Amino acid sequence: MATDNKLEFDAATNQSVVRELTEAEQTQRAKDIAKANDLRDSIQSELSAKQSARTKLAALGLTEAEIKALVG
Amino acid sequence: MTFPVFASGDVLNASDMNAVGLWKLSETNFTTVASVSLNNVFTSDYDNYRILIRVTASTGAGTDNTFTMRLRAAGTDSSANYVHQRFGAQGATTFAGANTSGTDDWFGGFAAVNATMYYSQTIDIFGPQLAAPTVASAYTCELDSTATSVQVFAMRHTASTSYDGFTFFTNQTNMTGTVWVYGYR
Repeated sequence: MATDNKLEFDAATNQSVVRELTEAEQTQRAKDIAKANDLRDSIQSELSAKQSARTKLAALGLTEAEIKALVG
Repeated sequence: MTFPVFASGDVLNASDMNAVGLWKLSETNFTTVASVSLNNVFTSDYDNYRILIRVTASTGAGTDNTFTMRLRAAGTDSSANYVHQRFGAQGATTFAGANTSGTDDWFGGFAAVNATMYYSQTIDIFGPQLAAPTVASAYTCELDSTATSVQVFAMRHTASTSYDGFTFFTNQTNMTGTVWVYGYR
């Protein structure tokens, strides 16, 4: 598995270091990526459902102002 | 003397300088990294801080970056006790959500993966270095050729722990940008 990089800055010394993630950080990153993807997918599903609702409401004859009042 | 109207040769007295309301603490550029950590930026000098994050590019296999953030102390991220309420809009469509049960990071919005990005996040964070729960408010903006979105966040870290820094993450391969930290007097 490829190792990712991180930048670490210390304001006490004003020094920056770019280093590879530790094994523990890489393991945590894999978990974080899965969770982040799930969150993004849930938001995308909400957006897609609203867009689908807009299309169907327009087909029923509602105006854009009426659709906006219903689904935002 | 009323600053900030400076004149050549003015003496900057302590009383004048101590009246400065916002003090720049750091400016950190990052290039093609998966995360960026800032240590020792939250100190007893200030209670409250403004953090500005701009991401100008990213690469990855996914369509979007999902950005997240964690508080950290002594070089270790805290990975629990984050709650948030969020509201956003993408194009003409709004969306909202909350996590009140306590997850392992703060959500920082999303932005399309692109070689040229226009993503920014502005965070006001209150008392991160105090041994008390930390609260923050934030908003993110994304404006590029394929997507536009804005998101607003209310955030709290429920542990009564002192933190000296934070880490900002992307779930994609890497990101490039700049993070600025300011202290409020």
